[in-house]
Amino acid sequence: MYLILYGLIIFFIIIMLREKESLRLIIYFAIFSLLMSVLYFLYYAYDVALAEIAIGSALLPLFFIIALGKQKNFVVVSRVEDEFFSEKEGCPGFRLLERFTDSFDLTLDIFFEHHVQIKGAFRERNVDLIILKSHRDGKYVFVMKKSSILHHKLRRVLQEDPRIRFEIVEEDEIYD
Amino acid sequence: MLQLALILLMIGLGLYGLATSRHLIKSIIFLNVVEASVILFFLRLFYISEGGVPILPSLGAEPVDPIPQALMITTIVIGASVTALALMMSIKIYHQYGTLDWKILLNKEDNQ
Repeated sequence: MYLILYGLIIFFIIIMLREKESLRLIIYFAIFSLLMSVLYFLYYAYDVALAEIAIGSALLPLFFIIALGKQKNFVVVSRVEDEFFSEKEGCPGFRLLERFTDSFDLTLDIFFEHHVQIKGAFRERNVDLIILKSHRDGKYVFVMKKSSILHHKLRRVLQEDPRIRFEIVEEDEIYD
Repeated sequence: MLQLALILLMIGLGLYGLATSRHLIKSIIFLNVVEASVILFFLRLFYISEGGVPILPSLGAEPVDPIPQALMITTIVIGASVTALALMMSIKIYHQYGTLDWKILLNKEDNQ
């Protein structure tokens, strides 16, 4: 009885060692936690078994799946909403960003906030890109933070567009 | 004795996975595997095969020690919060560097 359970658990650990896909790894981890909670039960630790069922095989896989989903988000906050950039189909700016996110396998998340403060926005919120319109030359300014790796990639995609200017901000810097 | 050896084998396999996995999420999962195995080790140490549940000890069999069990519940809860913190850090790392591969991440740190 015990030895079958131990064999199954070691079998699942070895499967997890060889698995390359993250989602399947999480499912195997949930099964592993269930088998572990059966063993806790057999060792007369009923309370530990209950906690392990609730946390190990339900809550933790949920955490992992949420974390995997969040990694693929590209969060854009836009101060402008006009014919160049809005959420309608066929806007040139929107299409450019969509091309970028599609080519790097990201999910685009756009918020329109007309009074977003750039000071502290990158530090306090999980923003990747802020879009403004410059009053001086009428260009659209794409603000990204300096430490992000994505600004090199985005710059490579949007290099040739004359309507767009890039600004790189240090994380704590005031920009006006 | 065989069961204790098997539990030690499980801890060893978990540490091996923690040390050799290249993906950050996989490392966090193996951290959880090690934690669960250590909990099992403690419960097995204080287990009596003719014993009983530590509820109403007057029912006959000698109860197992309830103090390690209470401590292990604390371990499970703290392990869950450590995992949540590690996952949050992994999201930040992904946004900063664009990858979760340990090898690339360590090289990046050397270059800066």
